[in-house]
Order: sequence, then C-alpha cells, then structure tokens
Amino acid sequence: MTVYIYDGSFDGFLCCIHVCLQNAGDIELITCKPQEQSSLFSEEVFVEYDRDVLKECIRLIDARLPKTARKHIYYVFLSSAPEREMVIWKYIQFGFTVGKFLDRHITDDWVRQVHLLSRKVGCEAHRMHGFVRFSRLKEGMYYARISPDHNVLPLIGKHFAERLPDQRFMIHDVSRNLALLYDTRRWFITDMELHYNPHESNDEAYYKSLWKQYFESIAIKERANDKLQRQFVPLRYRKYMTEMQ
Amino acid sequence: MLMLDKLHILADSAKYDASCASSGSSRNVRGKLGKASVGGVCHSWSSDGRCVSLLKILMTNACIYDCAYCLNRRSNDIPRAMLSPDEICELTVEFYRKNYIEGLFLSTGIVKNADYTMELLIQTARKLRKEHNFSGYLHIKLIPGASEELIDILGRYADRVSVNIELPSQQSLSILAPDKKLDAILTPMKQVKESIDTYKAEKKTLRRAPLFSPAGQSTQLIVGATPESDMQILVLSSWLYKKVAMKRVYYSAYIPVNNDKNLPALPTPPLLREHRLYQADWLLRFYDFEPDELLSPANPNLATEVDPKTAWALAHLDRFPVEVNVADYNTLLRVPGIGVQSARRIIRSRKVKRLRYEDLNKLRVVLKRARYFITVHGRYHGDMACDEQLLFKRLATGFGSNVNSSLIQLDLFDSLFSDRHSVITGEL
Repeated sequence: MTVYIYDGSFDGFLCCIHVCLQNAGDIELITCKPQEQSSLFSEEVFVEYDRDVLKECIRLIDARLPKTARKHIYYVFLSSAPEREMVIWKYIQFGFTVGKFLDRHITDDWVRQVHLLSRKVGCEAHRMHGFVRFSRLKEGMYYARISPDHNVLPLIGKHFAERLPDQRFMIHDVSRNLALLYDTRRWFITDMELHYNPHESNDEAYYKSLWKQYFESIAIKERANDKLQRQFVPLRYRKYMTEMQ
Repeated sequence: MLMLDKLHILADSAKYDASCASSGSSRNVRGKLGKASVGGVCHSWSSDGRCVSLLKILMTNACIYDCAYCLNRRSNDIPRAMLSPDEICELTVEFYRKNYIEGLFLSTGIVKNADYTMELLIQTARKLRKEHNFSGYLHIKLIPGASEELIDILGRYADRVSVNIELPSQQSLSILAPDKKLDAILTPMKQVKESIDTYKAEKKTLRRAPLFSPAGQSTQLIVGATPESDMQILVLSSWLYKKVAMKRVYYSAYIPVNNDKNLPALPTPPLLREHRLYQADWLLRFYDFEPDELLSPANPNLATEVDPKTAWALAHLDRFPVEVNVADYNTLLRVPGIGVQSARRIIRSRKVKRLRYEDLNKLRVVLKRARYFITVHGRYHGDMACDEQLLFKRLATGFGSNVNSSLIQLDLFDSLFSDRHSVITGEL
C-alpha cells in the first residue's frame, strides 16, 4: 500500500496521477497533506512537479478519455470534498478501461460522484458571477469579498475581466486567503492576508443605499416567499451581499 | 425629488413585469464595459423569490392611458416621477460596475404620445451604447403604436425588446384597457419578428451584420383578471411562439392594485394557476405538446391537483407503461417525472449499459411519479395498478400539497441557466 503526496497544485496533482498510472501497485491515498500518523504497512512517496511528466499525463488523458473529462477533473480538484483526489483517481482509472465512453457511465458510482462534484463547483462558480459585490475604493480600485464552499476563483477570473476590462479589481476569497487580481491587462490569483481593511470611496455609501432601496422596492409583498428566496440565495452567501445587510 | 425617492417610485411601479431574463444574447465587444452572457446571470433574489438580474425600472410612471389593472393609470392619485436618460445611464453603469446587475430593463408609462416616449427610450439606449460604451444586457419595452422607424432603431440597440399583450383577448382589452388595441400590440411583434429574421439571414453571409434584438422578444399577460380559460391562454401562447417567434410568454397572477367595477376581487393572487400555466408552457416549448392535447373545449382549464403532464398521462394510460430501455426520446419525454435532462441521461447511459430500476434514481428520474408509467426490463415497479382514479389520488396528494407550501415559480429560472444546453432544457 502506498500513500502518494503531491505539492498541492493542480499541475503537481497531475504529475502524481501519472506516477500512479505507471505503478500498478495498490494506492492507499493521494493527498497534499503530510500524514500525521503513518501506518506501519504503508509507504509514503512524495511526487515532485515535473514539466515533462505533466505534459505526458495531459497527453494520456486527452488520448484515452473523452473531451469532457479534463474539465471534470479540474472542477473536482477545485472542490473542497476531502476525498477529491481519490475520486478523480478512481474516475481516471475506470476511464482507462472504458475509454471515450467514460462520461456515459452515469450509473457508475465514481463517475457519478465526479459529475456531481464537478456540477457543484460549476454551479457555485456561476452563482459567484452574480453574487460578487464590488465596492469602489478611495484609490479607484474595486474590491469584493467572497467565501465560497469551493475554490472557484480560478473559474471566475475570465468572466469579470471580460466584462469590466477597464476596471482594476480584487476578489478576495476570505476563507482560503486567496485573491483574484485584475490590473486592466491580465488577471491572476495570489495569496492574500486576512486583515485587509480597505477604505471605500466617498460615493460608495450613496450607491449602496440606492441599490438597497431598489432591492426592497422590486419585491411584490403579496407574493412574499422567504423559502424560495433562501433556496436561491442560501444564507451562507448573504454575508457579503450588499442588499442583504 | 431625491434620487432615492425616484428609484423607489419607479422600481415599485416596474415590479409587476415578470421578466427578469438576461439570457439569450452573447453580445461581447472586446474592451467595452459589459458583456451579455448567453445563459444569463441572476444577481440576487428578492423576498418574493423572484430573481433580480436587471435594473428593472420605469423611465416614468406618468401615463396618458387609464388601464384598469395598472397602478400607474392616469386617474390614480399617486406620486409621479421621471428619470432623465442621463440619470438612467448613471444608475445602470454604476450598478453594473459593482456587479449588482446584468443590465437594464427599461419600461415606461406613456408621456404625450407613443412616438415621443419611444424617442426618449432610444435616447437612453443610444447614450448607454455610444457614450458609455455599455455592452451589457438591454431589455427595452416597445410602445404600442410607435412608428416603424423608431422600433427599428430601438431594436438595433437592445438585446431584447418586448411589448406586453396584457390580456388574453380583444374583448378583455376593450373593457379593461380601452386605450389599447390588440392590433397596436401585435403589429410591432410582427415587425420585430421580421427584423430578427432579416438579421439572422444577414448574419449567415455578412460577418458584421448589424444586430437586431439578438435575444428575441417576449411578452406578458395577466392571469385571473378576466374570464378567459387556460385553453384560450395556451392557444394564444402557442400562436405567439409559432407565428411571431416569441422567446417567452410570461404569465402574471393578477394582483388587485386598483378598485374598479370591471375587476374581480380576489383574496389572494392565483399563484397556483400561474404555476400550472408555466408548466404547460414548458410542455409546449420543450416537450413537443400542443395545447389541444392538454385541454379541450369540454375541459378548458388545467387541473390544480396534478401537473399538466401527469394529467395528460392519466388521460392516456393506454400508452403506458413504457419500457425505459427501448423507448425513444420523445416517448420518454412524455413520462411524468422524466424531463429533458433525465431523458437525455437515459438515452446516453443505456448506450453503454442496460438500465436497472436502481439506476434511474442516479439518473435523477423522479420515481415518485415515473414509477407508475414505466417498466424496467419488462417489470412494473409501481405499488399499485395503472388505474386512472387510483393514480390521480396518489399523485395529487403527493404533489399538490408540495406546491401549496412552496409555490415553486418556474418563471424565474430563465436567468439561472449556465450554458447553451441549459437554455434549452430549463435546468441548471
């Protein structure tokens, strides 16, 4: 039994998958966290990132698995499911036996779990397209806080950079201490300390009050339906939404 | 008047427009502010559970018309406000930059006359597009009776245009909206359809054909204010979908806002009826049903106890049960509990494997209803016989009570879709 450890990055993970594919032995676990208690009977292997191994792994996946698989693998990797690495591993392993029809095996438990997680991550990324709320800061930059269930920052950068091309912005994932930055030319993700206290520009409060006014006026009292609202905007997302304060 | 008060008055009067869709357009000009997303994006949901995607406001709530069902009718003594084109642009752009909204849904009362009002709308749209370089979603109301040239200009700026049909028949219109003529409503619809057809044809040969309302047109009608049956309403919708290529018909449960001798007094808005109409509407658009399959002159209204597809299936039990391992797509679509997505999943997955009953759950078939209408490997899994009376009772209690408690509103799903695929199926 072997425990494979990688550096935590997606590229590192794919390198690790490649090593697993080459070694036919029993794989106990793939993880990026050092094991606190190593079992007597298992061996630990640390897989380092290697550009050529990564390329080879991507080539293999593209050659043997359906086109949709790469997206699913990436999305599941971004999820916060604790067993995500092993789910992806089982999915790829099964994929190597059934080939291009992998995603038709919806009734297979691993495939189904991959589809489910991939869908959850995709849905949350889509939700974030709507739920992000920017405030204008004194120095002209726009700043937003989010705290999503999954690590969706890499999935939403393109969307916001395309629609706000002339606007410098930062989307701060406070639960992962990550930030998506856009400087009007390109966007990237970087580590971000938790205690960032931005100064909002003077007209920010005015527009916030207008937005809240609008939000309250647009609801039809006779049709009040809290339950339905909660279904669409679960309470955990409301913390950083201007109109819900 | 303060902007805060204007916004209150003009959003409050715009709220009865059901449409909040920001889908269907993929306008994307590099370097410009904003971009339309083909699946649409919802930014919030108000306390009535309806999605907030666009800044939905009236330019003004002053109106020369006196329609009985409308809050803004001339004879109502209410505060009136008006936003200038510049004020609307400022709100839209500022809200957009903060990611509050996907774009603007601009409607208005009629000031002076139809053409004058249309020109103000055009001025606003032009400013947004040309001066503010705004490339987000614009849904703009057409004013019935406005000239053809003005409609043509507006369609070039908007992603979606609409004119509300308001009431399902000419008789009802003449009683409740004496200033509105059905013809004045249908003529612009037909014009828009022709312009969209031209634009689509041009697009095939011209790389940069000028856009015309790329997200199509929609309309809305009020349900429950007038005596029309569901059959009349669905026949009308079906006509609108086929003849003027309507993208959506919205149904709005009548909420009394005025006291008028010609209006019924309803204790609560007919939300369940609205819900059933939306379900039937989905069947017309995505499930290949015709209105006369669902309803007949002898039976002109949708059942409240069960959904329209279940009602249809119960009336056609001779066609059931169907074998999920062999039935074709269209047959599967007609099974209660199987929707567009699950029918596709069934087809996809049975190419690699024969399906077992347990598998259906994984394909997200709603077995609570579907089990009575299918066989798997030739075996029937319902716990009671395929009998109309018995099944009606069983399915009515299960589903009816569910609806009453949560009042699911399908009209809101339009903006939730995340990609082209879900635009078709109505599911995220």
